[in-house]
Amino acid sequence: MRRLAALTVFLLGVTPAFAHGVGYRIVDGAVALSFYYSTGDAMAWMEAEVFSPNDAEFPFQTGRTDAEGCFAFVPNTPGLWRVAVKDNQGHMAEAEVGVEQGGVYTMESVGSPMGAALYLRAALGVSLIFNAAAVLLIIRRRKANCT
Amino acid sequence: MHVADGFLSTQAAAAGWMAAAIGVAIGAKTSLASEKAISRSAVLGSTFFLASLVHIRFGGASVHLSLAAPLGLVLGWGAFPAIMAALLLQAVLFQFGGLLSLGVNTTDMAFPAVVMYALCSSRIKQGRLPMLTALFAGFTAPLMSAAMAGLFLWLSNPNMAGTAALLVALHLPVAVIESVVTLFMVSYLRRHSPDVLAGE
Repeated sequence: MRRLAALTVFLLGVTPAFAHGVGYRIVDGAVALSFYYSTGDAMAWMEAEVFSPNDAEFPFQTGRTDAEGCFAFVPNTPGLWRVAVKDNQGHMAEAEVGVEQGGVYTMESVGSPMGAALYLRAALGVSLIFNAAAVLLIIRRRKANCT
Repeated sequence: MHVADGFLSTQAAAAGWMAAAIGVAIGAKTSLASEKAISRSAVLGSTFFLASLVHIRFGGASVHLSLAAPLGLVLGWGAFPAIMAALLLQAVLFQFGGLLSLGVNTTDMAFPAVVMYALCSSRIKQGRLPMLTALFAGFTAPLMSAAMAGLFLWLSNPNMAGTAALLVALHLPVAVIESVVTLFMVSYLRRHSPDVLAGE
C-alpha cells in the first residue's frame, strides 16, 4: 500500500513532456534594405546589426548582408529602427527606418549619393572651398587696405 | 581610408581630435601667411576633396586616392587645415567618414603629409635625388595613412588587429599610383614653378 502511494505521488509530480517539432511560415511586414558603396558596389557579406526603438545598445538582430548587399528584418513594434552595416575597412552604412502601425515604412536617412547627385555634390564641395578662400582673401585685402 | 563614426572608442576619437586641432592650429598660420598660400590651399584642398572619388579596385575591395604627399610637399603644415576642410565636406556631402571621426581621419591623412614635408621637401628643393625622394614620399604617405587608420581602429577595438595589416595591403596599389603622381608633380613644379614647393 505504501509503495502504491509513493508511486502515485511520484507520477503526480512528473510534468508532461512533448516532442519538439519545427515548422516555418512566410511572414508579412519584413523591411528589406540594400547596402552599397558610392561606387555602386554592393556591401556583400558584411556584418549587420538591427536596433529596435526600445533598445539602442543591444541589437534586436544580428547577421550578414547577402551577396547583393541586401539585409531584411521583421520589426515587432512601431518606432524608429536603426540598421548598421560595417565592413572591415572602417566603412559603415547606417539606415534609419520609421515603422508605423499597419506596416507603413519611411526612410529617415539615405546613404552616399550616386551618379549625377554625386557629381553635383562634388561641384558644390569645390565651389564651397573656393568661396571660403575668396572670403579669406577679401578679408585679408581689407585688413591690408585699412593699415 | 575614411574611418566611419561607430568604429572608434571615445578615447581614440578624442585623441584624433586633439592631434588634428594642434595640426590645424599650426597649419593655419602657414595657410593664411600670404594670398598665394590661401590660393594654393584652396586648389590642393579641392584636389584632395575630389581625389576620394577616384576609386581603385583591388582584391575585391575598393580603395581611393588621397594625394597626401603632394599636399605635404606644397603646403607643409598647411596640409592639416586643407585636409580637414576637405574631409568635413566629404563627410557632409558624401557621407564618407563622419563628424565624430573627423579628427582621426584628419590626423591619419594630414600627419603623413607633414612627415613627408619634413623628410623630403628640403631634399627636393636642394636637388638631392629629387625624383627618387618624390617617389618615396608618394609611396610612403598612403601606406602610413592606412597604418594610422588601422592603429586607431585597433586601439578602439582589439578585435580589429588584422584590419591595420589589411588596410596597408589594400593601399599598396594606391601607393604605386600616388608615387607616380607625386613624381610627375614634383618634376613639373621643379622645372616651371620651384617656388610652389614648400621647404628651404
